[in-house]
Amino acid sequence: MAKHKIEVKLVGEFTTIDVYLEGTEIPLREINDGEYFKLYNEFVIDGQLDIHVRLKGWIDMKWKISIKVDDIEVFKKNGTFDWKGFVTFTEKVNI
Amino acid sequence: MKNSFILTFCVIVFNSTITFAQNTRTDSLLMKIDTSLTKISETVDAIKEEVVEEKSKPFTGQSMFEDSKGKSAIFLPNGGTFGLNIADGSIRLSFAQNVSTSPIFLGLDVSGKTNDGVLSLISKGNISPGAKVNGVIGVKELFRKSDIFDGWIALKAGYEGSAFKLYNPDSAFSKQITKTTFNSFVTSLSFNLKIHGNKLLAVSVGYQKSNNYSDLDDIELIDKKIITDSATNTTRTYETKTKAKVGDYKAFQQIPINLDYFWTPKNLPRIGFYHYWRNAYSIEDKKFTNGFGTGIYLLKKNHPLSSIAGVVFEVKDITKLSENYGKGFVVNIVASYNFGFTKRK
Repeated sequence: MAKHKIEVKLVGEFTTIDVYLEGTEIPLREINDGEYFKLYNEFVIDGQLDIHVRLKGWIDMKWKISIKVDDIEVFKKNGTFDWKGFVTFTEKVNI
Repeated sequence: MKNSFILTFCVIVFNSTITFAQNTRTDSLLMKIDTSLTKISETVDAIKEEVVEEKSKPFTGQSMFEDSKGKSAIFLPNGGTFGLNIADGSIRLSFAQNVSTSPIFLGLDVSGKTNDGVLSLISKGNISPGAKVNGVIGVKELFRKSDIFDGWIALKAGYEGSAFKLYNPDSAFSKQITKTTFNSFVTSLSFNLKIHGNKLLAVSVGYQKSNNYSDLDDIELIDKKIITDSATNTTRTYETKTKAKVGDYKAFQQIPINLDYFWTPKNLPRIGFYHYWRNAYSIEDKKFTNGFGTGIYLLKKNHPLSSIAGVVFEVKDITKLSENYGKGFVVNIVASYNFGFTKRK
């Protein structure tokens, strides 16, 4: 277990945002129009970084998520909502 | 001598005959021209009358997600909208913003309007002003755990006020035109249900005072005054025009119930359909009025909540549709601009 600087950035328009890192819900804050962000200076990661994301939005809208650990981008993913307006994925990232 | 007299007589008679014939032809020609001009004048007058009669607004405009009166059950909990509603004659600015990271959002909905529509402002420069201000508080992410549904509720409360002139021909001359003000506390509770990513169903119930302003007849009054200057023996005439409404004006309490449904086809996210039902219960009259509308929009790429253009067909009051089909049926053009409001880093 080690403490790391973590930055989570989510871009898009959503009706529900659920982002979990290491099982902890990340309370993202809208810092710009359609741009959500959260910074932890000391975030405990045990081995691999567990990422779980659930997003709900509008059809045809683009979304993008990026996660930086100690100022290095370790994970990024983007896409466009289909008619279901729902995206979910779980990833494990080596630090 | 006798011969020359006869010759002169003949010449005079001949000339007179020619002149008479020419005059007759000229008179006939002038008569024809006069008749033609009269006919042209009559035709122009007829066209003018037709044009004046067709001055009513066959095409008006409105913002996305609202009817021609600016009413809607849909309230989006993110971002903002700036819209020009030509039909309602209003400019509307609305936005909502999350309170920190909680699901609670706060918003503001402000609109300024002319009671007679923007077309009247453009054509006559003679308007009756009005304003609506609404504060909004709501909660979103009501179905957070569901993969299909999403929902939010919004409580709106505010004030609506307007001023206009009424004309009563039965009153004393000096009291025929009265300036009337209309004020109302407005409140509504709306529930929005998002189904998948391409459907939005919304219902709202509210309370407000309303009036029958839009049902009254428009009238333009012209006051003419003549001033005579005895020193120069000059007469000066001037006129003032006043736009007013004539009829039996009523203000009443109302419970409006709005039902809205917006959807896009699964494989055509650039096309949006909007249907709405408007029901209002008048507390004094204990009567319901019902209207509905349906529209089609061309949406911006990757922005399904913003329209490039659209057209909405609306029936304001079903009962009046049967009385006068042309008056009860309205075609509206949609134009709106959506924007973001957040800036804190």
